[in-house]
Amino acid sequence: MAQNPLSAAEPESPWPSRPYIAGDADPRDAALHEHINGDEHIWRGGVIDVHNLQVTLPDGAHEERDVVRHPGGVGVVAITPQGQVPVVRQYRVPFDAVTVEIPAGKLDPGEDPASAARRELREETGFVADRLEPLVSVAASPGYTDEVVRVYLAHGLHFVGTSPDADEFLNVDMVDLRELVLAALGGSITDAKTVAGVLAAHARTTLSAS
Amino acid sequence: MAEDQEKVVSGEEAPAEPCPDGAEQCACEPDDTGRGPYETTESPEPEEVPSLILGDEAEHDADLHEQILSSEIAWSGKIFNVERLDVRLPNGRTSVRDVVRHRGAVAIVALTETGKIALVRQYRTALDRVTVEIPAGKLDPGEEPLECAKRELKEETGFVAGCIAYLTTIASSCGFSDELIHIYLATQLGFEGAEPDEDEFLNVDLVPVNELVDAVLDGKIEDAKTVVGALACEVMAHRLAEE
Repeated sequence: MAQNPLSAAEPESPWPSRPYIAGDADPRDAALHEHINGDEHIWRGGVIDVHNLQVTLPDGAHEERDVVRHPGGVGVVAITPQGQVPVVRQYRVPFDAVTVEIPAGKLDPGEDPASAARRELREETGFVADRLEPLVSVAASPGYTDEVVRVYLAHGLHFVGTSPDADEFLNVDMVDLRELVLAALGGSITDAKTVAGVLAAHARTTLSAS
Repeated sequence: MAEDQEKVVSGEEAPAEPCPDGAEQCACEPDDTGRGPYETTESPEPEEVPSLILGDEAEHDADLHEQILSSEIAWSGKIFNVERLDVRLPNGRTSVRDVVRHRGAVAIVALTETGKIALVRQYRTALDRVTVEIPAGKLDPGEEPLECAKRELKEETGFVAGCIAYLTTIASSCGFSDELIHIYLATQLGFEGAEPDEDEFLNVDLVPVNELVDAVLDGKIEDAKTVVGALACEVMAHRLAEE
């Protein structure tokens, strides 16, 4: 790992200037860990479960953490040669509103994320992709849930027909990626995986072009 | 388009002819919904007809709605509740939906004068590992997001911002949770000393923004608000460079 030449602190703070180091890759990270003493499954839902974890903090104190356990999910930013992206319109009960999101879904038990991504893309939009590659992963809200959504980038699209689930109701629009980027930055699209996905897709295509 | 179908957005009657781009709802028509700061007011170029229609503004969005028949708090906790709702689906069948009700949170992209971003390293029990995230925290009851942003920035990093601006809001997991995370941009940073909570153990790094963006695109960062905050900086920087 190269030393950051700017290893001195910024003049305005005692915090060190450092290169990016992933979580748990820094020797100091071990001292931040909580020790999990117990894990109680306190509420079961259809999709999510609530667990209560009893932990010991780094200073020895005891604390309880409520955690929502989620199976995890995948999402797909699929881009046509013309720069259009299929987006899904569906009702989201937490907001009592229809949203605009990238095609996505939960992982089936034991399912490989890339396979799940292809499955959801095909089921929701009718597209299959020649090329699928990891784009960005998003942990939705690590403060209280373990949900991670793996977002993929898909190219080389062919339309073969949709097959939504029995209780799944959605419409699909084709939208220019640049419009989605503006909407994401402007806050008119708020779904986290969609915002992260379109911004990452834009950065990836912008960086590869420069 | 049928005569009796009205435009959802502006309440005007349906146009006599179908929209030239074939859309069910004509996206060429102006509407009076409040749009964000990036929207232009000029008419779009013919080859750049806007194709994005926001949620609940498309004609057939109403058909997608579920009807909430009843709801009850199924489980109540310190930072969120679980509400169980009985709903009627568009096909007439009923189903049960579990919703996490969360007060909401804020996150801060804090940039130093030399283009570094403040990142917090902390253990996340839900993931059983240490993560790298931008400073953030939950709203206190009745707390305004901007005040929460200033408070969390000071508590976690010791920084006070000479300038703090609202960037955007993300819904962290709209499939099952109503949590909204409001993201702010803080600059002109002064240091006044950190005051983390009793059960908060964290380290702060200052990392060049472009390294953070590289890490995001390499799949190394996983936290949603950090991914969005970093990429928003990247896009803004490119746009400023183009001007």
